[in-house]
Amino acid sequence: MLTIMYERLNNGIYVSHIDVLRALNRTFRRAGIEVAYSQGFNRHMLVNMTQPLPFGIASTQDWVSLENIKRYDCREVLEKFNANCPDYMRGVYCKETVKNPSLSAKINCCSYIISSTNAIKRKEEIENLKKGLVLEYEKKGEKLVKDVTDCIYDIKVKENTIECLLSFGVKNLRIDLLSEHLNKVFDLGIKFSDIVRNGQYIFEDGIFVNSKKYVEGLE
Amino acid sequence: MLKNIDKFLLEVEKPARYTGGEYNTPNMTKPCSVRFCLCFTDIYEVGMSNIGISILYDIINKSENFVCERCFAPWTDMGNILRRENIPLFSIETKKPLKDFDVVGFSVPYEMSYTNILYILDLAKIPFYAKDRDDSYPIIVGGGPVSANPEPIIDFFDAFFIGEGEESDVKFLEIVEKFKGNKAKILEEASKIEGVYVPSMCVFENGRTLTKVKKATVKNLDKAPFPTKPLVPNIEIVHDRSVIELFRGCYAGCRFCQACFFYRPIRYREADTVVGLASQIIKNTGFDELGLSSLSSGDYQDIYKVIADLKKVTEQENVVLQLPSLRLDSFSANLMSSAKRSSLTFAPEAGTQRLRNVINKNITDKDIEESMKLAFEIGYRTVKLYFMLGLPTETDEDILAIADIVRKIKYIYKEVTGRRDLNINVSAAMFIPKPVTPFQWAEQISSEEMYRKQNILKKELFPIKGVHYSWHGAEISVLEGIFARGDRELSKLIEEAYNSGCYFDSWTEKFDRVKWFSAIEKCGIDIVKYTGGREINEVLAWDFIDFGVSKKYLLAEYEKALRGETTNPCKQNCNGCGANKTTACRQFATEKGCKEC
Repeated sequence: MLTIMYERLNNGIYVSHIDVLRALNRTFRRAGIEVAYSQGFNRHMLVNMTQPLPFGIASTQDWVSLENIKRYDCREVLEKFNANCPDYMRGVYCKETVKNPSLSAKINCCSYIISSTNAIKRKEEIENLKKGLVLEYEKKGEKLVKDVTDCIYDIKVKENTIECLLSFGVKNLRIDLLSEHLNKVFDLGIKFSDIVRNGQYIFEDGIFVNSKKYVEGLE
Repeated sequence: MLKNIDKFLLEVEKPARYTGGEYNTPNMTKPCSVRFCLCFTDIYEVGMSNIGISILYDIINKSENFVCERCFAPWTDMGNILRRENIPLFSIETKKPLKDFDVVGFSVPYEMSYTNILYILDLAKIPFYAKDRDDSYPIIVGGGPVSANPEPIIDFFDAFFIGEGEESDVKFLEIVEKFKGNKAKILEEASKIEGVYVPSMCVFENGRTLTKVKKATVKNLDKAPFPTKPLVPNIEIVHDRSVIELFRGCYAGCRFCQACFFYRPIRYREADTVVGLASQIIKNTGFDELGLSSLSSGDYQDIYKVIADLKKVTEQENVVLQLPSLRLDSFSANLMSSAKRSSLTFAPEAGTQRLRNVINKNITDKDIEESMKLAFEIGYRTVKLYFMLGLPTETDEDILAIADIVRKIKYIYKEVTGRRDLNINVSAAMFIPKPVTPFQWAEQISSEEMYRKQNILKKELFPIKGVHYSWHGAEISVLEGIFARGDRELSKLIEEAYNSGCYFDSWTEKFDRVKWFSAIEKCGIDIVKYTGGREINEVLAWDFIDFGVSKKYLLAEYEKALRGETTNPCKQNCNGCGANKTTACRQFATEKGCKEC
């Protein structure tokens, strides 16, 4: 398996998860990286992505794993990837592993940086959200109330940014819901384009391991 | 260049429609003497699937001194934001307002997108009428399939490209480069280019243009440029695949079909050229599907060779090869087994042999039965059937016979497979007489009559299990009929309809019947004048265009139609339509081509 870490910035925030998958398939085909295909009626490239980002949010750490049918030098893969990917994408790391790292199942926590010049004025209140936060939101026209306190692992306000670490996956707190709450309660005027997902983590045995470190450690 | 649009993009559906940055985008910052903005009168997903847009964009950007950018009609959400924020409509690539370009060109694919021309001009803050635009505005040009009769919209344009624009577009831009800043001189010189219609340089009397304009035709399609590095969209588009054009023109000669006569003479790309281009396109785009584009790909002379060779390329690259629009009579087991078996599309167009003879659809009931049998034997389970209602000489018996065909197909399926799970999708379009066809003199039925005929078929098909019936709207067909054979009087109707809120009329959810018909009433437009039958000796609004195919031939075909006589496909023998006067027609019955070549 080849596992590639890539950034999705600029216009990439306007591209949906399914369109990114399509773009990755086309990138591999253009790059001449030979990937295995499923053998069903609708044959498709065997690639795995990590979980989708809400529309409008950039990412500096996204992953795609592919079942290569030919061995490649990882540096060569990155070069080919970057020469053939759309402008909004850039490969930054590649590792060949024996088994599928199954990152989408393992990653259960993500870090985000939110640009906000006003947040510093409400630093204490924002940082206290990890002690208790109940969100009210609408889903498919239905009003929901959810206690998300245990989904916030950390939230820190710095000079011009808010940095937070939120649970992801099965127990999920969407960053767009949190930013909407921050706007509603603290009037911060955060736009989705002010948010960048800068890390994906695996939380095991009480320790957060950055997904890159995890992949680096794989055989 | 506009900098402030990013903050609004997340307010709209599919913002990637407006951001650009597609893979294979050419260098937009190269020094250039003429900047051209190519507009399409529908949304991004439709326009990006248009092969004409792709060809012109490629040709102009390959020219040393010219840059071509794109602009698609923004969907209503974006249009509202542009209005609210007072932002002029801009190009996708550099976000430059349209009014700052040297030339703005519209590709107009169908009549019901006419109001979108005004929508784009309105958002771009450019006056609608050519007469109201001085030298400070870009030159506004048009083209596309509606150039068979541009008269209803010609008042909005400085010039219109009739026919194929591959060669005339670049010649036009060379003139713009030479006389930049002097619109009158540019238009005067441009009127000398074959295929360029400059209304201000033409004699116009009694509601008709009298100066002759010759349709532009690519002489050698095999050598004609075709984009090998087309843009790869960042979002899914209507035809999300690589496309290669096999040939232009059509051998069949169906008498209702404008494309068949408008795109004559028949010119094709050699099989090796097709395969070579396709390999490059697959490599340069990474698309996982390859489609073959032609009016009737099954009639391509080397279709078996091309498919066999393309299959080698596509299988190696894990690309799916798609075959579009196969004619029933070109159908074969070999071809079918080359494609993925999802559903099969056939267009008998009429229910009875008599009416099929009238429209010159050269297929018989026996052909239909044999082809269906073959199709079911190799595993097809879904069939799409296309018919037309309101054809000249049509009777209620012809409509009832459509249901007979459907019942017969169900019976054949049961016979062949022993099963009853066949899905049949029946689609009935309304006949619209189009310019440059033998039926250009024919009458179009009224909307009331359309409803009556649709209901006959609906009632007849309703009891048949597994049949899904869809039909084209009556009112929209009447409007399309008005514009198809319309004249300059209709520009005021388009303006009135747009001002009352009509645009994106080809979108069912956006079409507003009430607004359109009140605009017709307000403008005093006589519907029957446009949809009614025409006198043979009448000067038609598009008679000033030399299409190659002669009016005499079209008339002879019309008379044969009324007598129920057929004409052989020009695959078998040349019928002398006249399209080969300046460009050789490659009907391949003989090595030399047509008898007149």
